[in-house]
Amino acid sequence: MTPHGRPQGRDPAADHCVTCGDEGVLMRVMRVDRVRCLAICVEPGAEPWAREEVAIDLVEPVARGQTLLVHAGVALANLDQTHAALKSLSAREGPLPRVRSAAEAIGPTARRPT
Amino acid sequence: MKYVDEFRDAALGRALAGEILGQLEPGRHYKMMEVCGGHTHSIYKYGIDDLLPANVELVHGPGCPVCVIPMGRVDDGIGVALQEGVIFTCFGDMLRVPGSNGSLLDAKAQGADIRMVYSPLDALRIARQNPNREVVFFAIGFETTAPSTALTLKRARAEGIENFSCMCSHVTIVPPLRALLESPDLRLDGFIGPGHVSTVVGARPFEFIPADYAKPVVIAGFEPLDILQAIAMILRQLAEGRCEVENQYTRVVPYEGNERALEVMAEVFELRPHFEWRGLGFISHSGLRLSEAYADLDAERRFSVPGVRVADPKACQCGEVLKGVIKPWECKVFGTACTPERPIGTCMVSSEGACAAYYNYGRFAREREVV
Repeated sequence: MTPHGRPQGRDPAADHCVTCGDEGVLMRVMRVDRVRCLAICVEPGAEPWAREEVAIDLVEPVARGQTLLVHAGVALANLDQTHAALKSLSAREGPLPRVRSAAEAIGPTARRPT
Repeated sequence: MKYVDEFRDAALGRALAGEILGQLEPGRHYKMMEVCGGHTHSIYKYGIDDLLPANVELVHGPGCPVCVIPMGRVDDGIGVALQEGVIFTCFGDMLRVPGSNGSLLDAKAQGADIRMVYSPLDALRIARQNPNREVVFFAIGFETTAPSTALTLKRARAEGIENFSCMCSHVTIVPPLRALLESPDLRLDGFIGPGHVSTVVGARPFEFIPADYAKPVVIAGFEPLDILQAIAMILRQLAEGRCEVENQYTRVVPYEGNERALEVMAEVFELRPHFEWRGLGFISHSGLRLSEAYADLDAERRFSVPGVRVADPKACQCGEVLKGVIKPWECKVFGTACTPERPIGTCMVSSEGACAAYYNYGRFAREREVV
């Protein structure tokens, strides 16, 4: 295991900037360590042993199996929570703004909430 | 993988390209800026510009945090790194950014203890393991990265780690966008907004763009269909005569951002009166420094820092590239004196930099063939 979301098995220089910028890595939560406020995560597609520690202070509560957006070892978003929030917003305020044709199949988009 | 595979579907991509074509007004040239270096990288990695009609032009914005660091700031970092007893930590790309007299990598070769970290939390771990050394973290990045630094400083404070400090060069995205919009030599029809910055700050900070400058903004993700859909959404706004902030990246970006991240940033940082941006000059209230409450963890107060402003090399046209005035290959030293192996300008250093993206994904070769 490597600390704080350091990618294993990837060449950090080969593909994209893993060290800074606006990069975010999607990781699946395998275990939550509430004492240290960390989640033990794995990047889908990576070797199973390549588990990484991710700080979850900014996205608690986190549960096993959820998907986090991780940047520089810190989770910035919990995609399962965001999706759940969007669904509840959609149910409360009616459908999200219309998105036509192929774009519709990709996922919801939103304008400024009223 | 969920949240990824569905955004790389080729059939949907072709359909979106068709939708883009259907939104175009004959004879009109559309110019839109992708603010974020991550988008620039995705555009060239996936060949998105090849799918677009010739009259839809993408301009690369200032959203690569490595690319906007001025040479004087690199010199300041080297100045701290060379001091006795210091372990200097920074993100990997920062190591190769040229200062006026070499890079951090050159300083490391001369004996300075400079270590690459992936997270500021790794730098804090090094401080824990080396209680007799001073560990400095060179913090760069936009609002995406600033919460990681803030969280690290809070943990350092909570654990009472006194041999850790931060040289803060974090920047914020809105002031340079405003500066670009005020620039007389730039005409844009719309913006592809930064996805992961917006995860933290939300969509609201971009409302000034439609309100004050009448340009649409669509916050977008980084998969190929995210970017194509964002372009289609901008074109649809233009076709319908609308102008507003839309969020394409709803699977990650809440409209109000991440409140906890904003709180921790507000506690740890405060705005600098001015901060120098490479190619853009000094921009008011565009940089962050540690707040008074965290002043004891500020490396710039703990160590003597040269603080000298250094002009960019004359041959380098990073400024024009960052403003979208010229394409990377139009710079005189692109691909000759300036390459990713031996960069002169910062845009060639980070893979998120526009010049490196052009170079690494064959745009240089293609442009030369066309010429």
